[in-house]
Amino acid sequence: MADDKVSRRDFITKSSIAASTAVTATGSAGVHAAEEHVQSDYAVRTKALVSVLTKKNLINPATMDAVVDYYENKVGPHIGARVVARSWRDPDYRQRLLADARAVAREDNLTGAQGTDLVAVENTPKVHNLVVCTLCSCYPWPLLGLPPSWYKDTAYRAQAVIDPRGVLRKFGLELGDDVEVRVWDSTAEIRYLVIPERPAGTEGMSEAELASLVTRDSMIGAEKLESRG
Amino acid sequence: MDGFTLPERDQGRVMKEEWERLVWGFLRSLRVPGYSTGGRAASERMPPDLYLSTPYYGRFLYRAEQSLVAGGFVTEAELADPDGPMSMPDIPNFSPMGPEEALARFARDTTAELEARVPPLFTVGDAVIVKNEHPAGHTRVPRYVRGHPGIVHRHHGVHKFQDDTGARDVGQQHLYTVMFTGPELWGSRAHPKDRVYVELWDYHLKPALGQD
Repeated sequence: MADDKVSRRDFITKSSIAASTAVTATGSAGVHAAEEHVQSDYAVRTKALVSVLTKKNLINPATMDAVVDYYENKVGPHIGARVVARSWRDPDYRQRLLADARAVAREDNLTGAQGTDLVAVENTPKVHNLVVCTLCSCYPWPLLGLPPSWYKDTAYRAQAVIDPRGVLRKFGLELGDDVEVRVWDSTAEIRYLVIPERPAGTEGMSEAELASLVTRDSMIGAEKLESRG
Repeated sequence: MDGFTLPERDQGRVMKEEWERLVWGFLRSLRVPGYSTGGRAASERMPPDLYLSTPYYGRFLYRAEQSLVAGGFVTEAELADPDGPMSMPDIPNFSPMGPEEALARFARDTTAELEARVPPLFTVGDAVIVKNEHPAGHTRVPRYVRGHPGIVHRHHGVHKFQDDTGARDVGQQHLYTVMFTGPELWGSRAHPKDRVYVELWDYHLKPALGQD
């Protein structure tokens, strides 16, 4: 298995070359092959690092499992959706949320890593909010979980601040000229939650029913929720 | 980046590959005295071509490898042959973080706000200009607002300052959300009703002309 014993530098160089090939290759088969090559390199490197850290007793594998389970299953958009649904039904809660989302999150035990200094912004027929992190990937983990790939993509990060309407159009949302678009670039520790507009046809729904309608991307401002019925 | 193709909005699992879950798992499980991945600034020290060609979780992996090797916790030879011989670390009174502690950390109140001991330089509604500075180290000021006027929209109190100012102590810094109009930042390409909001500290701002 001498071939597996590649130096770290070789790993990195190879990954880098493979990735540039993926960007420049014209044939989709070529792109696909290059991506698979990169994926397998990362898989090998990750496995090696985790194996060494475990053998040296620097990490506890049970902790790794708990971490992944927490971020894949415990926190996620379902939490933000409950906040949004409640804000639709409870005007007092909504006002408090808009005035000081951090205080509300503290009361409801919704603070945590990457999401204590919360700010909530509301979409209306005349104002549409869109959240971005031009630096990298800042995102309100306790309310929405980890950010999706598109949110971390360099194209989204660059274009959201320059041409938010163009970005939203490509996402399937056409905004009128009378709508003000507010883009929130998360450059500090403030994390944003967009409160989407309550869809028409949801009168009389319970909080749980309403929460089930709220999508992750609507809480980033990337889409509107569709009318019901 | 402006010319890159906008991705489809992917749904479903955020970490799509098993290695991505492993990277995330060890990143949040690894708490060893003397070890740090160096935060955002470390990512910015990645060679630019490597940064751009490395996927999101791959950057974390790269940073961890670099920091662990530099800190002497692992060697390149051990990573190249994880079944081969390795030296055991000698860290007094150390045991790896358990699941309960990791989960407790995630739920902590992690506010970056500090008790203010200095008054803010600006208040909501103030017209400000972002200083046109281009530091060599890490800064939270996006290039696209440097030198541009904006309006203080919200005051957050003193927040932990995130720029690399070298050895210089800049003291407590109040944080603000500053509003810029699209046309101010992007000229005629912007829609007149576009607004961009950016968080900036006292250190980054000066009063607009006509104000004291």
